[in-house]
Amino acid sequence: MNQTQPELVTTTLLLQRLHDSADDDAWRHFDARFRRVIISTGLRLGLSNSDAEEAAQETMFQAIRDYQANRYDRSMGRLSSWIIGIARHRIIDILRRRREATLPGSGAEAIVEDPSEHLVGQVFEQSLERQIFSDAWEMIRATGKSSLKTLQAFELTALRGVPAQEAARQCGMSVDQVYIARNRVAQRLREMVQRIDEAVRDGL
Amino acid sequence: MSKSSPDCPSVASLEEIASLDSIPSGFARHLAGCAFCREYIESARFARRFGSVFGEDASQRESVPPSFPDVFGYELIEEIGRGGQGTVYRGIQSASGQVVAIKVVHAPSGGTTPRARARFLREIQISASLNHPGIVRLLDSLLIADGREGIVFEYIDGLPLDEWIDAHPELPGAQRLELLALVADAIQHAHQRGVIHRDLKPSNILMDASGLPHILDFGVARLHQASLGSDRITRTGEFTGTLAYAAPEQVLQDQLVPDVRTDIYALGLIAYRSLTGELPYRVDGSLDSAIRNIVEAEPARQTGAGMSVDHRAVIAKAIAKEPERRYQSASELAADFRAAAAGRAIAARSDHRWYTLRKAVKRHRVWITLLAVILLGLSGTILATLVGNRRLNRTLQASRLQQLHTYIEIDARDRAEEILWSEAKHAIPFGEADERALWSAPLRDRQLRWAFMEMQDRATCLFAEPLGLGSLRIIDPIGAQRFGVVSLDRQIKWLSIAGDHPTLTDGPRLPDSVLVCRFVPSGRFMLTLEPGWIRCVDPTTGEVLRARDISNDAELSGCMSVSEWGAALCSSSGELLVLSVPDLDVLHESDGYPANQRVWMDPAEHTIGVLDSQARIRLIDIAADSIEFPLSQPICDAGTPQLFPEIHIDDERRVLIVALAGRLFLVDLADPRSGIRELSREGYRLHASMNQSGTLVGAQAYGESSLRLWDIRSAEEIMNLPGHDGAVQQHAFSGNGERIVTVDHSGTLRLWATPGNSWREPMVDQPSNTHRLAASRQKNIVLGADDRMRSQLLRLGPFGEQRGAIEFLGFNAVRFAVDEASGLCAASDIENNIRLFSIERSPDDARVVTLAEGDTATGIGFGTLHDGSLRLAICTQRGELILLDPRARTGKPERASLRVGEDLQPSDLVWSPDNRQIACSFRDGRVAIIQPETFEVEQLLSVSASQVRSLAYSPDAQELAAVGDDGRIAFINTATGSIRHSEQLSDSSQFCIAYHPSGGAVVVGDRLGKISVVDAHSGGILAGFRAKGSVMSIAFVSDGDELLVSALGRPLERWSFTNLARTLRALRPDKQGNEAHQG
Repeated sequence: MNQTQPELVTTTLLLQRLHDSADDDAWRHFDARFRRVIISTGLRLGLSNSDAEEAAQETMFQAIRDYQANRYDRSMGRLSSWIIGIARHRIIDILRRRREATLPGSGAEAIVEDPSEHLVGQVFEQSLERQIFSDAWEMIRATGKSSLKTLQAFELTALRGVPAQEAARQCGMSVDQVYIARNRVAQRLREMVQRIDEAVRDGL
Repeated sequence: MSKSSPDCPSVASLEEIASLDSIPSGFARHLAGCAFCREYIESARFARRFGSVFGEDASQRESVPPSFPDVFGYELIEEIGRGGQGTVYRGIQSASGQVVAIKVVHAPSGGTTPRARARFLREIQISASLNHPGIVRLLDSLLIADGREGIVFEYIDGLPLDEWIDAHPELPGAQRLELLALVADAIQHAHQRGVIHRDLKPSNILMDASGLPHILDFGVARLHQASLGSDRITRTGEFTGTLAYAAPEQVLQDQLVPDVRTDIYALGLIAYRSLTGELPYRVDGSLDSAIRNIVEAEPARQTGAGMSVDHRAVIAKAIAKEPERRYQSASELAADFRAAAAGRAIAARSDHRWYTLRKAVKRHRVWITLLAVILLGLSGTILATLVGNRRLNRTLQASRLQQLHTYIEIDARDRAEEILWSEAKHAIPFGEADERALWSAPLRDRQLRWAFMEMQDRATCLFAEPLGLGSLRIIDPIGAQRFGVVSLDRQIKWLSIAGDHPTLTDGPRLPDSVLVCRFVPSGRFMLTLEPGWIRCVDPTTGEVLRARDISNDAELSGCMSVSEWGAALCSSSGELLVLSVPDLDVLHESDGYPANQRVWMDPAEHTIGVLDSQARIRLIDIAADSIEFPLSQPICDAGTPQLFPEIHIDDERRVLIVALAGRLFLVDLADPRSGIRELSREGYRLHASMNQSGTLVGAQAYGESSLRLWDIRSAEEIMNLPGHDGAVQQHAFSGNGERIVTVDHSGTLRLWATPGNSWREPMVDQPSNTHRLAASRQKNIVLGADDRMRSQLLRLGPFGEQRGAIEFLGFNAVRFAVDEASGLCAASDIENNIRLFSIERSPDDARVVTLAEGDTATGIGFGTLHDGSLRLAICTQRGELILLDPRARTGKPERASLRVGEDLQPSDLVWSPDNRQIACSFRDGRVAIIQPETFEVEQLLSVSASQVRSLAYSPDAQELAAVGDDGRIAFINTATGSIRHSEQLSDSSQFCIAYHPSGGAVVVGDRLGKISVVDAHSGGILAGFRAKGSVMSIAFVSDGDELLVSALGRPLERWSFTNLARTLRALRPDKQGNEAHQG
């Protein structure tokens, strides 16, 4: 297992090692990869923080257990769809529970639509992308290839929306230099995102 | 990471571009070639995206409360669309209550100077004049309170084309094509009025409730120029909008003045999308790949999914990468859309002959007969081997030859060459000298060689070779035999055509930003034009001598004229700017002219010729600031659209040529009463050129593949140079006017000779009317008499040398005879005198013999009797034959009467080469063969029902050939008197005949100017040449290498069949095989 860059391990490989219940690493990495995505999905679908965490916990638990019990294989479709399916059920469960808790049964049934498979899938994808971007950002920062100033220029302009003039003042660069620095980081990020994306989607 | 270059815009500008939805004007082209900028844009965009995905405030969006701009005179109801250029609202015109659509452009377009505003208004005016049901009518333009522009259109309630088609998936392909044909009709309407859309895409075509299309934004695309910081980006180009429907030339920005074919391309792409639901290549990936796909990638093959083979062919032609390969007009495309929809044969595939036939079979169940097969032009040889029948072989081969001659006759040279070269491969071997083979090779070989010669008579090509030039930007003559050439990738090259063998040498390369360039006539300087700048460059080194910023001046098009002293630039809004060369100082500025003019510049004086808005020609003397009108009336009527005028005047200001909206006008300035002649009318735009001496004008119509040439003096079309592999892309007269260089689309260079400058030479400058030629082959002297009975003598130097002058011999004569052996000449006059003189000595020492009263000679010829003594045979008007001893000082000539019955009137007399016979022809069609020793009439033959005018013996004296009014040759066997006839040469009278010294062929000239070369043995016509005047007399000289031709009203010409035959070697495409044979 690639200890230094676990983000770049393919999902395929993770899945292979999942069958070996003694392979703790694989468990941890699989969990890390998708738990946060599901939490994010839950949040975007309107769950509270704690509910989203609970939904993620239940999803991961069921997914790993079912996978080990061979309740999933490729003929059932993509892995991501399968996971999304599990997550959706868990999220709906929680949503219903919360609804029942807040709306005392009065006979008037509130017609609320459950999130569709399509919607959950969409949100899942968004969250996954966000996760990948976040991982890429972490990895870029960790490699130390870019100077602090360069990273700061990027963070200020791209992530925090600071106007270039101000960012230039803060970083002690010219405006042009800020743009160039930002682009350099953006380039590296793009490449990193692509690598991680490939790894994650391999087998997903 | 790539490096930036000085041409790159500033970082601030790049930032701004990266923030836009689409690539703005002018920048796409730079982008295509600059990795640094591409990377910048990509990174900047990714940074933006990253920020939006990753940042905590990702969901935050700018919420602007909806408010409509304040537009005077209109009430805005709702926003109906928002695009890169502006926002569209539905509104009501307050005064009339009419529902309109108002487009508010984001930023002030093109600047806010009064000039810019005037330009804008002019554009609106032109677009507003478009009145067609398929075009959304432009109603008004206005300034909005905040300074932005608004354009008011008629309101069409409908869906954009792609959405509409997606909403009607059941619509069959044929109906979709009918729809597209309607769109093409509307586009054609606009094109004819000089308006090009430039930004056609499905979102610009609205479908109304009844399923009819309406095209938006006609002629206003260029108004949407986002103004950016850098002047250099805003200055140029017409291209704006998304890349998806952009034509390759738009992306590459290779021309400053847009073309109808750009719209054709877009329409083809729209058709593709309408039939299949997608675009043929991906334009949504990185900028890099999008641009590369547009410029290079071939469209993806569609399997099934609504595209039949025909549909694919039509679309493929519409979206060809090179504009020349596309449909050249929207009406052509509309026709093919309809044809494909109806299942009829389409033009796009008409080259494929089997295809047309197959279509016909499908529709009408035509039986394919052998004749049809032949007409399809399959190689006679190949088909013959397939069929395996000897008689069929011959028939097929004959028909192949027939087809070849037909194509030559109709000036379809490219087709003719196709057949010729495929047949030549088998039939014309290498190794034998072309000039000999012309007369002595096997028949099939000769038939093809002579067909080649006939083809070359129409247009003499001296050289043809793919020179790896690719497409060219320009080719300008810079000396008698040199040209300055610039290739599409801006490489300067020098082309020398000395010795009729073109060679290219490389010069420096121009920067990528250069769009238009011209050489001054001497080649010392070169003017280059790029967005915002004009530069004067030393073309040998590439060094910029002077540069001038013109970004504030006229919005320039590619129309630049240059001379040694200046450059004249004309903009698309009719502004004229004349700068000095090489200093680029402003010499003159004025405006109000028709747009995009190529003006004339006097080579020495500071005078220019322009067309003004009243279609009158003005000569502006820049130094004196005065104007002259050489013509009192306008060059054309008011209805002619003033599109792309070109003015050409010769150095002596005798001839004026104006090309305008596809029409070519010729005016003789020396004689203005002669009026304005229209030489041609073709298409919507012509590129014309004139040779320096003002004797020839060439014109090439956009959309036509060939270059046509006219002789100015006679105003007749004399040459038609076809484009092979597509259109003739560039052409230029050489500085000395003797050659024309054409480069066709594939980069093949061809060198052509202008008439009278290669194998057919006038011997004198004026019409000489030298009739009754008598030549001494060995001495290379020609004698003749003209219409006024003046005796003429011409001395023949080597072919191609300086033209000679006619020597007048000082006495009257009607006929001549020359004895090769002794050098003795005889001349008869209209009375009864015979003048005898020697070639060597002065003709003034001639001896005059006076015959009896009434003895006018109608034919004379020298011969030798058995005893070796020389005699001059004379046949007289009275029908008598006289033999005169030219050396005898005394004594009477012997005579005998030829009257055998009726009144005979002799027309011609010849003595056979073996001296055993004298032949005499008569006006009643009979020929008498007479024994010179005894005066016995051996034979009296009825050769023709009509007059026999001329006789010639074969060199071996076996046959006597006679021609006259029946239009064919009678070959008389001199021994037996039996007669065989040649093929019918023509319907008109044949005036003269001559045998080639080899005896293999005869040459005949007729009343209408045709010269036929006939195979002596078979009597079949080998070739027909055009002499352009009644052919009065012909004679072989230089041992049969050359033919003298005397045609009425024309100078005496010398034709070198040898020189012409040799061009075969240079032109045949399989000449590589020849290298091995070359000694």
